[in-house]
Amino acid sequence: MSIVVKDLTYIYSPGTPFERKALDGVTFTIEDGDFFGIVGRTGSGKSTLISHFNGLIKLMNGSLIVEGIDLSEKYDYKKLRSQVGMVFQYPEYQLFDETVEKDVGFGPKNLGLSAAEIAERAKNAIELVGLDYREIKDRSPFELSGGQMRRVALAGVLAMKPKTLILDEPTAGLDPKGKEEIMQLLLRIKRECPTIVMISHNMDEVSSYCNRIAVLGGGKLKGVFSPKELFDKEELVAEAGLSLPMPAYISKLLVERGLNVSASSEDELVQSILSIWGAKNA
Amino acid sequence: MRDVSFGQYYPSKSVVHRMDARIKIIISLCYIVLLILVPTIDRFLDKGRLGDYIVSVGATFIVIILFLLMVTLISKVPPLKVLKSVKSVIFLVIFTAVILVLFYGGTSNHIYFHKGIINISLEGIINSIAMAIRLFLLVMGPSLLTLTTTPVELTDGIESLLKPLKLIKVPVHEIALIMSIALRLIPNLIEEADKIRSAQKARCADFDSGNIFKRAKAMLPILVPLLISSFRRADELAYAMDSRCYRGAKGRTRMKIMRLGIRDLFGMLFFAAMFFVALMFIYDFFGVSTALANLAYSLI
Amino acid sequence: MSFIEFDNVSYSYSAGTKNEVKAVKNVSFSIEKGELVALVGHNGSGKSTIAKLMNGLLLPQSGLVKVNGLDTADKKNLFDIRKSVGIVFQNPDNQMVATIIEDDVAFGPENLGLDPKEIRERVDFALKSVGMYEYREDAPFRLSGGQKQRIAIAGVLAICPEAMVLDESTSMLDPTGKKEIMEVVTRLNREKGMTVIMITHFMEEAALCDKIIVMNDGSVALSGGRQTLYDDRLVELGLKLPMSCSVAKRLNKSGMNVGEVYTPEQLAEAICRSL
Repeated sequence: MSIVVKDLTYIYSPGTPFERKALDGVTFTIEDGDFFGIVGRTGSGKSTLISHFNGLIKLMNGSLIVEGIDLSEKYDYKKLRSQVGMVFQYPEYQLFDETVEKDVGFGPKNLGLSAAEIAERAKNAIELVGLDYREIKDRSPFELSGGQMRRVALAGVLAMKPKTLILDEPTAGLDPKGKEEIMQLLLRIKRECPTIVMISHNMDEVSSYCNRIAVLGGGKLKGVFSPKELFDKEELVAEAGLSLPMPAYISKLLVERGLNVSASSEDELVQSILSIWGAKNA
Repeated sequence: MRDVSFGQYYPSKSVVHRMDARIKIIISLCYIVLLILVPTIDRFLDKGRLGDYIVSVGATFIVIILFLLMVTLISKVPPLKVLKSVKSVIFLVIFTAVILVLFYGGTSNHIYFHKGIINISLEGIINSIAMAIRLFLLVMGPSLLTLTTTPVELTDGIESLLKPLKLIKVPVHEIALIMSIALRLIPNLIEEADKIRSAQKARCADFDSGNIFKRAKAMLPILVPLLISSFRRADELAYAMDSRCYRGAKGRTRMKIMRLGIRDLFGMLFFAAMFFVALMFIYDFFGVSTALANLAYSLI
Repeated sequence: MSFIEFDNVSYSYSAGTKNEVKAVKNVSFSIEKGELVALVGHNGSGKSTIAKLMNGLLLPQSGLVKVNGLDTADKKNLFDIRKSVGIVFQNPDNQMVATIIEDDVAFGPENLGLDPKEIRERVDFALKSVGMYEYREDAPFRLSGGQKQRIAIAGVLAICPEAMVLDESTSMLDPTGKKEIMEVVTRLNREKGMTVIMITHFMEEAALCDKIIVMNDGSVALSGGRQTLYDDRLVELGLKLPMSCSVAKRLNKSGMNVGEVYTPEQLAEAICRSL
């Protein structure tokens, strides 16, 4: 089990007029090897939840075990943070060093590794995100394109060799082609870093990549579902501020018009429409 | 942090809140002047008795405190908020007070302890208490101003008051605009710094250990991205302002025009009355302070 | 004379240095009053540069940009051009100048030198048009991205421009925010006849527009009516079709004729019709 969350509650600015319950008794488990999605509206508590996973927010109430480390006790935060990588929204805005190689090596350096090990890890991470190590390592991260910068930022986290990778909207602000590339990249990363947790607002992404999806609303867990289960719960999807993935939405429109279609991908959709059409014409 | 709006403005619809910011700024300035006029014990003892000093300064403080209390009550700001404003200076004040007690060098007739340059006397103690009260009042008054006036009103007020400086080519409008945009961007910057800090912490960055140089160096991974993003923001903001027809102060009008109202007149009169009474005690107009002191002496 | 005309326009960043980036190359197109136009393309295809060229924030290094017949390169015209073409940018946080919503919306009309009463009327009108009137005295921090972006739209509306350019204004928003903005914008176009130029990489948004201009590597690759979405070259450029269009296209190819549709609803109707 990668992450075990039990009865997690978190209150911002307790005891002041600004007091706000961000998380309210959240309980669920993320298994090793999951591609786990977290969805919910802005302000539903998603970011507060994932910030707990690597100890950026101190546990207030409840219990949390991450990669075997119990966060309700005293723990080695370096060990935790090297096992659980965290990629924030627009991570390219956190690049700072003179060269790509140095920036990617920042994490390993903080872990106190040897220079050789740091260089090795930086190289592997840069190659893992699909960049040309030799060509890019000595360039300034600030002269790269937006897509490249995001990859470098991702490499900076992967260089810590985490077992679980947590991403907050990894494809935000990218064009459809860029989004697709990043999602494909995550699948490749998953071979080395088996557990991936991702916040997303993009239903098509969540439904085609995640095996399990947690829905948050007003700080409460509304449930953990498989994509198929979730899209049958239309109200829940709407409540989470999401729209159905396109294939499911078009299927729904067809069902309302009396056709028996249930598709979770474009191919499935086209196939089932054509088979209905074929049957009528036969 | 990002949940709390910037500054310490405490929203309410009280008369004090609705007063013209310019009047409030002028009153605050006069208030500061008044506190400066409160004499130190040295200046006083040359011509008067210690008791006269205590009565004169004590009465002045009481008048000022009553004034602050009334303004606080009228403004509906929780009194605790006003008191809390001294939190940031409390150590400075205590430190200064202790120094003043230990090294008081003025006229002193009641010495408790004397060795080398250390000289503890009744006059020194009274002097340092008076100084402490004065400093606290000096912080509390202006903090009432910021508690009851939004940063925008403040900048607009300052712009309006500084208008005469335009004659000597001071870019008053631009300065005010810079201030108001800075106020606008501070919460964004705080939020951003917070985010970057978390991101670097997630890569095991350590900001809290080592000596001061090490710590300063450890801040680079926050400062560099923050600086870069500030430039980006500034750039985008400049485009947005240009696009919205901004041409500087030339030909620009305002939606909200500051107009003095009856409440501003009352506010001024109320302050003027307090100001006069306080001055009366300080400068012994009509011999009030002396009379009070004589009364106190006769009672003792 | 068209409302906005681009005539053989080129623009490079850091022109004349070794870092020169040719963002826009010999681009020509025109936009008429009242049109709802989508300008689409990948990131880096030159879309945002075109937005800034439209009201003289950037000036063409060769070629001409004209708004209402006025050349943007002539400094005298800039104020009038910006009065008629407003831009809503990508990041809602970076286009607000004031800490109170109504003060921010007032910034534009204040720059026009209007009388306080008129400014107040315009601010109220603009905030009502985007459904944010009841928030007018609040600070923007607590608003959602979609709400902040509606404030930015109000800020442009208060100038009463003839055209509004939305430069990827929905790209940082969640689905709810995106929907809010699209609703406001299409309504402004339909009800008030405002010319709207949507710069976007979401083809679903382009499918709601009357006219589509496709940018690729700094040049106009394709342009035309909505049926441009059915042009095979679009796929060759690596752009992702709205799913309604790509499904319709595949059904048409298989012999089931559903025609050219642009929204999921139209697709569903067309499928039922052809069964």
